[in-house]
Amino acid sequence: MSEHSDFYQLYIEHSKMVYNLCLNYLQNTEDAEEATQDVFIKVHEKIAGFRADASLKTWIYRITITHCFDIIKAKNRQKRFGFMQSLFGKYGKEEIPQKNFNHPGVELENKEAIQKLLELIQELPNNQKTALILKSMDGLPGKEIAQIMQLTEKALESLLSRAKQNLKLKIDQTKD
Amino acid sequence: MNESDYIEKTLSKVQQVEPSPYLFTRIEAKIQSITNSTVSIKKVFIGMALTCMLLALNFVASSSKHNTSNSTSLLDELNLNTSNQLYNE
Repeated sequence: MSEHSDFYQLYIEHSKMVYNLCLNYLQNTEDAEEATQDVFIKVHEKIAGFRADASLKTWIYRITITHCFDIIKAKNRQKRFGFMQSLFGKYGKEEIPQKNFNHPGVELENKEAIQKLLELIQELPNNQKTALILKSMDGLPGKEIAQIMQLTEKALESLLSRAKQNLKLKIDQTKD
Repeated sequence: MNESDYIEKTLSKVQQVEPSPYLFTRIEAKIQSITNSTVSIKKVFIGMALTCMLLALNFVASSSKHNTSNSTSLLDELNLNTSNQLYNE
């Protein structure tokens, strides 16, 4: 089989998973598509060096998560820099962070509740956010999440309960 | 329903969506442009070899001693004064 058809097969098998993960992290459809594109370019570049000590799916998950965090970091840096620019009045045009994101996978009747929850998830620490997204939104089994996050299953359980506790606190705060 | 169940239940309602059907074409085009823009290893080696050769030639040329014997014999032959004192008696 040719390299092209192998890569196409890999894309078909994993693109939905990568795109949805990017969407859950970045909360923006254009950014998610851009990130998916970058992830597959990275996969294409690094696939020759892939060692089968983890499954291909786990490996792609890790690349995607790292890439999403890099994008979020870069965006936060840009926001800080944008603030400085607006202070000096040189460029003025600042990227407005996308609030009220319309997730394409959410039905209208659940929209408001999910939107609120997604916004609060974004405020969680990175590892808690990852554990919660992989468990509750991607529906992965604990063993697989532990492999992706390179944790023991026990450590993952406590991370998940901390994430839920934090989220509960944040929900209560918004109610007040 | 406690809040932990509420979180799980609400988040599980988020459905998986398909990426744009043109995404693979875009990825392929990007990979192609990266492959075209990268310089081959052969070209890098040739460039490095040429630079090394040029540096070596420069070094050889600058470190070789100038042959001054010819110029002194010519001065003697023509009886020229090499001193800076113009009003020598």
